[in-house]
Amino acid sequence: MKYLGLALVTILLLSWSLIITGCQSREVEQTAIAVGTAADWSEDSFVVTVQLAQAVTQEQSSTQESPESIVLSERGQTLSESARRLNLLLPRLPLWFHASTLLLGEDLAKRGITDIVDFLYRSINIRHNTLLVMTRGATAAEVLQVQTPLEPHSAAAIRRILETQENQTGIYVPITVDEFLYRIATPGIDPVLPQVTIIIQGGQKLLKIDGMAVFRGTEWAGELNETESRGFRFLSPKQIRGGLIIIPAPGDETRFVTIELISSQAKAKPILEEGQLRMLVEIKADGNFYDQTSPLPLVNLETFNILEEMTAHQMEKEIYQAVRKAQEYKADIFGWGRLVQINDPALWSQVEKDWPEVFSQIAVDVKVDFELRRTYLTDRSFIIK
Amino acid sequence: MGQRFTAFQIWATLVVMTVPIAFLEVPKRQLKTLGNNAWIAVALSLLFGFLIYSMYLFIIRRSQTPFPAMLEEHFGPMVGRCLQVFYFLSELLIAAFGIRLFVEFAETNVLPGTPISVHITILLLVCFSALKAGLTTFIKTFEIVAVLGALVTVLILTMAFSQPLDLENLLPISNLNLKNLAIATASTSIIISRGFIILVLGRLAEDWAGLRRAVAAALFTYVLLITWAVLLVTVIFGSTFAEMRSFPPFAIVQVINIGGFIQNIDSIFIGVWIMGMFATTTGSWFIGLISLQQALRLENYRFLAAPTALIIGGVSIAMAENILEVHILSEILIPLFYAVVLFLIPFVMFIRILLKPGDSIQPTQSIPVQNMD
Amino acid sequence: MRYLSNRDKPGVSPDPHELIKQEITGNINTDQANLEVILQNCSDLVMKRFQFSNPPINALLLYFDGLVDRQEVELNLLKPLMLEMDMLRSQAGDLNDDVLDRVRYQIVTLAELKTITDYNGICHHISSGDVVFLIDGIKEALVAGVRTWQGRGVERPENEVVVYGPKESLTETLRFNTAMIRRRIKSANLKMESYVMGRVTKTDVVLCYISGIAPPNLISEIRSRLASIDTDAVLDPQYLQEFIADTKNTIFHQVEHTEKPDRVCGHLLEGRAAILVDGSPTAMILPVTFPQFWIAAEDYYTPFIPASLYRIGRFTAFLLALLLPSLYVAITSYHQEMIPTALYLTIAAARQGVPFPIFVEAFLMEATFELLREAGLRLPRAVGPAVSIVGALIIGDAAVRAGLVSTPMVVIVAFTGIASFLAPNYNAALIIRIGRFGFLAAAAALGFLGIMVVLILMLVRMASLSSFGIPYLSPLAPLNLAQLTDILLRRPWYLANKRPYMEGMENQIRQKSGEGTA
Repeated sequence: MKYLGLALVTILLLSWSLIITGCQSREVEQTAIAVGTAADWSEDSFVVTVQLAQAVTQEQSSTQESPESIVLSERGQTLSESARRLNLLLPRLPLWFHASTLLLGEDLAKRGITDIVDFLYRSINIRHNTLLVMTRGATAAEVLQVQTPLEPHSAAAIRRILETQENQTGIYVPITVDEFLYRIATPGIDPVLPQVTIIIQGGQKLLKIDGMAVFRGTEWAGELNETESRGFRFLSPKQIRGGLIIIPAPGDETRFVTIELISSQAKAKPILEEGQLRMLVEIKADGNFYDQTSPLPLVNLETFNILEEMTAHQMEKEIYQAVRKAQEYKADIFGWGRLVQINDPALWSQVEKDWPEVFSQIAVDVKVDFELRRTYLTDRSFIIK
Repeated sequence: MGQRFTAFQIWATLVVMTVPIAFLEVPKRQLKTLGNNAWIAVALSLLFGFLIYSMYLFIIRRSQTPFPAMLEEHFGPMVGRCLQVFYFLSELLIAAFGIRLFVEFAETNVLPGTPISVHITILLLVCFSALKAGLTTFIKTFEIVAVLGALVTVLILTMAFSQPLDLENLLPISNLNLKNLAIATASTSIIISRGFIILVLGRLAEDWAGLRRAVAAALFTYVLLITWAVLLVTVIFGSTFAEMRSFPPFAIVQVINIGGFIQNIDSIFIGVWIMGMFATTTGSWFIGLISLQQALRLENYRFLAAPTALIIGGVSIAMAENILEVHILSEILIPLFYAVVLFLIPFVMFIRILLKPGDSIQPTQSIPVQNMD
Repeated sequence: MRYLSNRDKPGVSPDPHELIKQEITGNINTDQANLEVILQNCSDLVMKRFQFSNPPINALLLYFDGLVDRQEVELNLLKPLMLEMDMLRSQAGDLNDDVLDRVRYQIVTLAELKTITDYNGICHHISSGDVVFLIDGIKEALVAGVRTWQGRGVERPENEVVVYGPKESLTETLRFNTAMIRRRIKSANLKMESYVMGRVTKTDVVLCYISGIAPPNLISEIRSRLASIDTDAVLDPQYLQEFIADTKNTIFHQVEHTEKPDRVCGHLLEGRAAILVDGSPTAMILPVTFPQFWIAAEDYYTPFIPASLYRIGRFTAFLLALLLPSLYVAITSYHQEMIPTALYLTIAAARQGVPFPIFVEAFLMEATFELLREAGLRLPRAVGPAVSIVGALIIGDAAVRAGLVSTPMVVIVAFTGIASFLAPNYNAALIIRIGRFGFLAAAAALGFLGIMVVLILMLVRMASLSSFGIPYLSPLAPLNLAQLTDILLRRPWYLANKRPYMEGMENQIRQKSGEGTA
């Protein structure tokens, strides 16, 4: 009798599995994989666009050049409705988990993102480590339709570009959904988003990361250009790695020296001076001498000091540009408000209400301590006879 | 009963009785009341947990009988037997709540389509099979569940270090509100009193020193794991952001991504958690059944499992309409209920023992202890 | 000289079943007649009437042809009787009173001699290969052990193949087997208790243990369980196992079967007992716990570091063999988010056009695999490999080409198959093979949740089992860390100072300290 239960369970499970299969589960061939999603706002409704990956068998892949991605759009009153309405066009169930990039259309973002944050936070179909990117000069749907080189799916391409450029050029910071929502939910910090745009090169449409969108709360405030974006990245409290800094060559202002950033970390601290709030930013950075366009011998101990100073100065300059832009937008994208809250909760409760105003007036001191470390394959400048 | 439990088995039982459910309940509750200081309350519960367990151990030492019979020993036959029936009902309710909480957790996070009754049936079925197999068997199962569960939890919590950590999220400590701290500490500590099952197992332990070591280790495991989880959640997400989550620790699991290959491991987490919930539910259910067995002087408790399964299933479906009500239960009612059932009544027992003249303990042969295995 | 007693005697037919219970009468003619009735229709019986000594004494010689060494009978029994009895008589005079003792102690040169008094004993002994010798006027029969028969020689083990270590395997002959064990453990403490089991077969069964190491309570428990068996026939230890197991209806074996004498000795030295059954080349070890199934004999003949790695690999393979197909089904039909996108696309592409749901596909493939495996075992040796190759290549490849199954599934099933071959014990492999289907069904019904449910049910079931009082999951649960390390890893001999503990064990110390003297 004791085993009756066990036997019963087995039989139950067996029959159940046969009956229920296809009811709760999603068979592979009934699903479609969304590699990218995009949200737009047009004609007073949300438009959700999905980029689906096509599974290609080995025989097909040898004959075809590259698998085409399928891009579909549908509109609705809410984002969820639009996404579900895609099934009016699509004979399969889209699986959203694999979408590694979520594009926000320019129209949607500029309209304000209040409407979509709840969806982003609540939906189990949005993985919180998805990258969030805003479009510029194009709708998100158009961006998804662009055929990117080497990578058949533009959504995946955007992710790769963002990830690769960060340690190659060190301009833009990828923002995940999680980070974005954190910046919206936490007082004293405002969200930013990298922007993607369509350019035409050799008659072919390409995608390019260009600028960062700045938000004040959920309202679109403006954008940062490349230099300012780099300045924004330097101010990140997390350690950053990789990126280039171009400085004029000592002794020859028309030529340049490339410095490669190894790592850099910023420490910001609010101080109260005579009732006036000041931000003290200290940055410790390491770098390598990467190349020079000037023929002068620059790699020696004396010029190293000069180079270090110039690099630090260049970084400071870019940081100031970024700060000035952010203050102009009254958007605290650096999270200084949060620092005030952490360091002086009493003060924060006073200034919290009109923090954007306070932020825009705040005085900033940036101190960069830059050290050159290595010089790659040669320990001197190339000697031209 | 010849079977004795090793210290490790006691540790495992206490861990599976406290940690899985605390993982679901505590972080949310603490983040809500204390914000970035949530972890302080959890760490402080070490102290109160120590007091609670000390009280349990004292009761065990000064009693002649294990738990359900103990009520008769200290409260007299009439009150004792009434209390046994009360415990029967209470533990069923506790089991039902545990199941409901887990089902809500599973439904909201991984398997939204499945009817709630399917989950409840499955959990009950598993626990039922364990109860039928008997105390010594399911305690052995708990050992494996505890080790496996602890390993996976530690693994996940360690993997979370791959996320960018922002230690400043823990600041400022100065906004600590003492009243909230007291509330939060109390509500965390009260979960420790789920280790109530020690009153049943205590007398069956191999040796007293081992029992004490096991209890201390279980307390440390609890505090360590929960503090770690709360700290991580705060450090990674920030308290305001994490507090919005239905089940904050789960957020850690969702963002873990290692090498692009190990990702989205939510379902594994749920799978491991069902083991923990299986153990927790079985434990509570078992206490309930032996209480009734003792009250009615039954030979065996196993045949009670089937009818009570229906009660638990029914109660867990009916106890709340939606997840908001579940959260209200979890935040207010259930901690109070724990406090009464698992803490207050033993506390009265403790006082009664204290007031008794120490040397006048008489052999209470009159209480027949029913066979619990 | 010999004649065969296949003559029927329908006229005087007393019931042979009654007759067999009687004592030897001492009258050689009556005895012969009775024995002829009892042993009628046994064409392999040799019943030889002869006379010896002077004055002649009538005697009867009985044996089954083929079971005795005929040369030895002639040289050591008949020849001394017929020749030397005379000499003895001429020296000592009248011997009528103690003719049996004289024959037993002074004439017959065979070592193994004893006397019996009833027909039943006669039948039993001649069936076992002894020669029975009746003398007129004496109510006892002399039994001479001259057993010999054509048995299989000691060969290499077929199922438990090892690279290093002893390559003998047990044979069908009990005596060879006991000898192989005795040769490895030269101790007076190695006990071999003999039992005769089976009302019809009268099979010799030997219970082997080392007294002083094996817990006495275990041995007495085994004795009493063996004694309680009442059955017709015992042809293999499995017949006994199903009688003496703690829990009967379960797929989890509570004893271990092995065909390697060195493995038997290893178990004996750890305090376990072995049961050998005449006619079966398999020894049954008890008690045994679940984790022990994953220990191969070879581990102990390999340096401990690689042996430990093998063990870890084997445990991993066990989990994979049990869970891989169900994990695949669960992930592909419930938890697609866990698979990296590229892999999911590959699976989706491979599954294009496959007409079955993944669960059905997996179930069919697993069933086919089991079918092929069983066929490979049962087919004549010459054909077996051919069928396996045909099955694997043709069916697998054709099924994929025909679009009946997808390639990832073939990979999964093949991998699972390979992993299940890593189980060093055939019974352990059976658990995997059966369990796998349960997990598969659960995965199809509920995904991971289902797998975990079945896993818990399995754990509860295993935890409730015991093998002669030893918890089936020990040393995992109840946990014994010292012993667990010896199961998960192979402890070097110099550190293995203690034997694995069993309840009631008196002498747990294997060696004082493993430092060595060098």
